Amino acid sequence: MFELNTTTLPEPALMARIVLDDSPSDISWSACGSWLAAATTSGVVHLVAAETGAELTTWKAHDNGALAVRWHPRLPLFASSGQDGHVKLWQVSHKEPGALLADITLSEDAGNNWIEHLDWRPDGAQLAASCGKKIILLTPDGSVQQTYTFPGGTVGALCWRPKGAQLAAAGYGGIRIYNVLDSRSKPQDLEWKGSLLSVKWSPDGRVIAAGCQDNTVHFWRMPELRDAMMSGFSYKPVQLSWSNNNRWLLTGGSTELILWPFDKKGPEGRKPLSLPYHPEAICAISIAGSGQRLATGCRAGIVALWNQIGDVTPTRAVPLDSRVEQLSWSPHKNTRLLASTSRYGTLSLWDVSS
Amino acid sequence: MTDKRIPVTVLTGFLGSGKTTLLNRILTEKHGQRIAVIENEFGEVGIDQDLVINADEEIFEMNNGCICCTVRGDLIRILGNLARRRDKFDRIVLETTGMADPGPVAQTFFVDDDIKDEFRLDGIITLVDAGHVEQHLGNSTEVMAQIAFADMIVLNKSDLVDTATLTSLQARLQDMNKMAQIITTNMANAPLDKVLDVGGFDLTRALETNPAFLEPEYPFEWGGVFELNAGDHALALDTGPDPDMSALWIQLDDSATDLTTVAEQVFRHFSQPAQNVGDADLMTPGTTHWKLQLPSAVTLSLDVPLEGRYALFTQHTPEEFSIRLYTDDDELCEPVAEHYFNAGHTHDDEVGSVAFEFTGTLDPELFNTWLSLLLRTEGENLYRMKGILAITGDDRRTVFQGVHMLFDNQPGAPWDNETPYNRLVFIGRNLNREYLEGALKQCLS
Repeated sequence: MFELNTTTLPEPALMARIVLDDSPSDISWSACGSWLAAATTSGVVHLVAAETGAELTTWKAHDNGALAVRWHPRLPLFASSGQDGHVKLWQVSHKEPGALLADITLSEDAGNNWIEHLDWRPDGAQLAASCGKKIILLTPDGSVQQTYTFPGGTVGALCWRPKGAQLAAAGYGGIRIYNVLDSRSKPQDLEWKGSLLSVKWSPDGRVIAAGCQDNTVHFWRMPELRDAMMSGFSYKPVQLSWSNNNRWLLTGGSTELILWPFDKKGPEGRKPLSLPYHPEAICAISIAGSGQRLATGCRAGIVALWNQIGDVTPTRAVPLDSRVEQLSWSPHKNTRLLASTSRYGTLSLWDVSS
Repeated sequence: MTDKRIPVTVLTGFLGSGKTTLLNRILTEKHGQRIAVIENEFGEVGIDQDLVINADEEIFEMNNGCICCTVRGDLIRILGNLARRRDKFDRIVLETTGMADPGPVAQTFFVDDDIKDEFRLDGIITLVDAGHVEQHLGNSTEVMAQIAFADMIVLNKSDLVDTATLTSLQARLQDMNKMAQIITTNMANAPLDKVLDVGGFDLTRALETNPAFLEPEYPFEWGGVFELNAGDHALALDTGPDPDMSALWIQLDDSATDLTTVAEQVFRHFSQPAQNVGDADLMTPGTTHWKLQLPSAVTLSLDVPLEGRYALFTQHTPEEFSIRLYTDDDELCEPVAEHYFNAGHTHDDEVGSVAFEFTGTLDPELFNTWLSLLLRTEGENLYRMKGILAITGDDRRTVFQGVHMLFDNQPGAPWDNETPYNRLVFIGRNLNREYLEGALKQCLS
C-alpha cells in the first residue's frame, strides 16, 4: 500500500500565509527579492512584502482573470496579463506599491484575447507577450516594438535565451526562435510533429527542452540542432528546470523526480536518476538561485525540500490544502525564502534558512 | 460516490441547424445553473451570470500519427483555466463549428489527465436541420460523424417537412446511430433538462435510455391490424422514396394478441423469394412475400375471404407512400392497432450502427484478445461503442464504452437470478455486421 511518509520529515518554518481571493495563476519575485506578486484567476494581483510576509495591497488588475505576472529583471516594476487582452505594467515603490505605468491593449477581440505568456528579455530591454498566435515585444515603458505570428496556432510557451536576444516560442509543430535584434534574419524553426506545452533553455543556452502533450520531453542541442526525445512520463511533463551548472534537467510529470544527465555524454542511452518521494505526479519544481536547494510539489499538495540536486531523499516536507500550483525561491542571495501556492488559493512563504 | 467533476455538454451540428438558437436559450432561460459557454463563433462576453469564451478549434495530432490520440488543444487550455476558478461553474456548454470532428473533442476528456480530473463529458448533442440534412447525409463526412457520435440527436426545424419525411428521417438517423435518443423540435425548443443531463458517457447509466436499441430489428417499419368484412378491398399507394416495397398480408387467428408477437412469428417470411405485384394485381392473405412495384401510384386488390382481423406489414411507413386501405364501397379503413418497428439496415449509409443481443457468457481472455485486435485495426472506423457484457466467472454485469481506440469498462449490477446476456452497440464507418456478430459469438465460453 501507498504510504504518505511526509510525517517523518520535519516541516519548514512557515513565515506567512495569505489567503488569495481565488486560485493563483502565476507568481513572481522582484529581482531584489523584496516583493512577491501573485495573480489570480479572478483577475486580482496580490503584492506581498518579503521582509514581513505581509500583504501590502491587492487590486483588480484584469477583467475575466489574470493569467501571468512577471517582474522586470532589474527595475522595480512588473507586468501582468489577463483574459481581457491587456498587458499592464505596474511600478512598485515602498511609498506607492502598484502604480499603473502602462496599459497596453493587445487584442480587442472579445472572448478571444487571452494573454497567457509573459517573459522579459534577460537584459530587461523587452517584454515578450503572447496572445493566441500573436507574439508582441514591448519596451519597459509599454510601447509595442515588434509583432510576430507564430505558425503553429496558439503559443504554448515563451522563453528567452539566458544570454542574448533570442526568443523561443513553443507550440503545435515545434519551436520557433526569433532573433529579435536582427529584424531581417529569418526565424529558426525546430520542427517536431507534436504539441509543445513548455520550453526552457539551459543556462548556457546550448540545449533547449520542451515538455509535450503526449507525455514526452523533446530537446535540441544548439547550434547543430541534434534532437532527441525522452519518454516514460505518466503525465504531461510541463515542468522543466535546469540546474545552474547545466548538468541536470529536472522534470515533473511523474511521481518520481527525474534528473536527466546533461554532462558531456548527455542523457542518450543512459538511465536518468529517478527519485521517488511524492505520492502523486510532480507539478511544480523550483531551484534556488544559489543552484543548490530544490523544491518540488505534487498534485496531492505536498511540497518537498531537497538540500541539493542529486540528493536521493528530501529533508523537509509539508502538505498544502490542495494541489501545488507554483513554487518559487526568492532570488535574494541572503534569504532562503520559498513561496508556494495551492489550487484552492493559499500563498505560503517558507523560511528554510536553518 | 457521486462524480464531482464539472459536466460538459457538447453541441454539434451543421451550419443553420439551430445550434445558436439552442445556445441562446441555454444562456437566457432560467435554469438556476451557472454555465460557461465555449463557442466558436464570435460571442458577447458575460451574459448575466454566465461566461462566454471564444475558441479556435486547434487539433493536436500526436507524433505517433494515431488519430485516436488526437485532442483539442484549445479545450485543454480553456478548460484547464476554468478548472482553477474557485466559484466553479455548474456546467460547461461547448459549441463546435459545423465542420468539427467530434472525435478529438470526446477524446480530450479521456486522454488529457488535467481535463479528466476536473471535467466529465456528459453528452454530445447533435442538431440536425430536418429540411436539409438529407442532402448532407450522403456527402458530408462531418455531418455523418456528428450523427454517429451523438448521445442525443435534436431533429430541428421539423415543422418544415411533412410527417412522412420526418418519420423516414428519424428511422434513417436511428439506423445510423442506434445509441442516440432522437427528439424532434421546432426553433430548437428541446427541454433543457433533457439536453443538459444526458449522461451519455456515464457507465452506470449505460443503455438506460434507449428504446430503439433494445427492440429487435425487423425487415419492416410498420404493421397495422384491420377488422374487415369479407369481400374485395383496395390497397392504394403513392410513389415514395423507393421504387418498390416488400409487404405481407395475413389473416390473424384469435390467438394473436399484439402486433409485436405477430411480428415475431411472421418476419421470416420476408426473407423468402418475393413475388412481384403491380397496379390492379391481387394479394391473397398468407405467407407470401409480396414485392410491390411502385413506378407510379398504384391500387392493388386485397383479398378478404372471411370476416375477421387482418394484418398488413410494410417495409416502409404508410406516411412515406400514403398507404390507404379501402372497402369495396371506397370507404377508408383505419387500422384498429398499429406499430412502428425498428427497421433493420435499410439505408446504405457509410456510417451506421449495429447492435447485438445474445445470451451466454464471454470468455474474458478470448474477448479481450479479439477486442484489442479490433480496436487496433478498426479503431479509426469505430466511432463509439457501448454495452453490457456477461463475462464467464463474473457474477456481475460488465458495462463498457469506447471512443475510437479508447476503451473503458467497470463492473455493474449483479446478475442475481437473471439469465446473463450480452448487449452491445457499435457505431462506425463500414461496419461488417456478420463479421462482428460471428467474432463475438466465437468468444462465448
